[in-house]
Amino acid sequence: MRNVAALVSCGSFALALAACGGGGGTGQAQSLADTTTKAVYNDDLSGVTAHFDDQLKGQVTRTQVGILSDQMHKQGDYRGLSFLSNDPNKNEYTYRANFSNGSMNVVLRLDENGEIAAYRVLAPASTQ
Amino acid sequence: MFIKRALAGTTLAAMLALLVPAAPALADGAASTRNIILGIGAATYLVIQHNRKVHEKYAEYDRRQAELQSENNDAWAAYRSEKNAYSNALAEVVDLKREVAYQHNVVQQLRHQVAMENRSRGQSRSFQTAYKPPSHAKASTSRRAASSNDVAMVSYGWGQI
Repeated sequence: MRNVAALVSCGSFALALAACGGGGGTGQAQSLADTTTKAVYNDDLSGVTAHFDDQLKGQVTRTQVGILSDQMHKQGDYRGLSFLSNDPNKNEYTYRANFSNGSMNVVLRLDENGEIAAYRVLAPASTQ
Repeated sequence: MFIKRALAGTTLAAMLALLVPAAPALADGAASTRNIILGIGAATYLVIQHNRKVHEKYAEYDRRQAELQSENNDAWAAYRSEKNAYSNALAEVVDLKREVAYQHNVVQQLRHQVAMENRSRGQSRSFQTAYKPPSHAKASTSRRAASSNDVAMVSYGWGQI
C-alpha cells in the first residue's frame, strides 16, 4: 500500500515538474503569441502592445496594425497557433498561425522580463 | 681598270715628251744618252704623279666606303637602338596589361563583396525593419528555400529577430 502511495506521489511530482517546464518552454510564449496575434487579427492596438516591452511599444502605429490585420483576414478565420520551433539562445519562438484559408508564421522573441521584444509575422508573398 | 689607266698615263707621258724641244741632233753620243735619260726620268715622274693621283682617288674611295660603312653601322646601331626601345615599350605595355588585369580582378572582387554585403543587408533588413507595408513588400521580398522550391516570404511586425 505504501509502495503504491509512493509511486503515485512520485508520478504526481513528475507531472508537476513537466507542467512547470511548459512543454519545452513554449507555454508563456505561446500564450503571449496567441494573445497578440488575436489582437492583431482584431485590429486592437492596445491589445497588440499589451505585452510588448517599452521599446517595442514605441514602434507600433495603428496603421501598421490595420494593414497586418487585413493581411491576416485574407487568410480567413483565425484558428490558433501551432508550435514549430524555438531558439533558447535568443529566447525566440516560432509558431504557425492557422487560418481557414492558409497559414502564417509568427516569430516571437521575449526579453529577460518575459515581455515581447520582437513580434513578426511571415506571410507568403502571394498573399499580397 | 688599273692597266688602262697606266697605259693612258704612259701614253700621255710619251706625248709630253714629244713636246719637249728636241735638241739639235748632234753627233754627240754623250748628249744623246743624256737626252734619253732625261726623257725616261720625265716619263717616270709623270707615271709616278699619275699613280699618286690614282692612289689618292683610291684612298678617297676607301674613305668614302669607310664613311658609308660607318653610316651603315650607325644606321644598324640606330635600328638596334630603336628595336630595343620598341622591345622595352612592348614590355611596358605587357606590364601595363598585367596591372590592368590585376586591377580588374580587384574591382571584380570588390564588386562581389559589395553585392554580398548588399544581399546580406537586404535579407536582414527584411527582418529588422520595424514594419514592412504591403506597398513595398514586392520590392523587399526575402526568399527562403523550402525544400527544392523557393518560397517568397514577406515579414511584417516589429522588433529584430
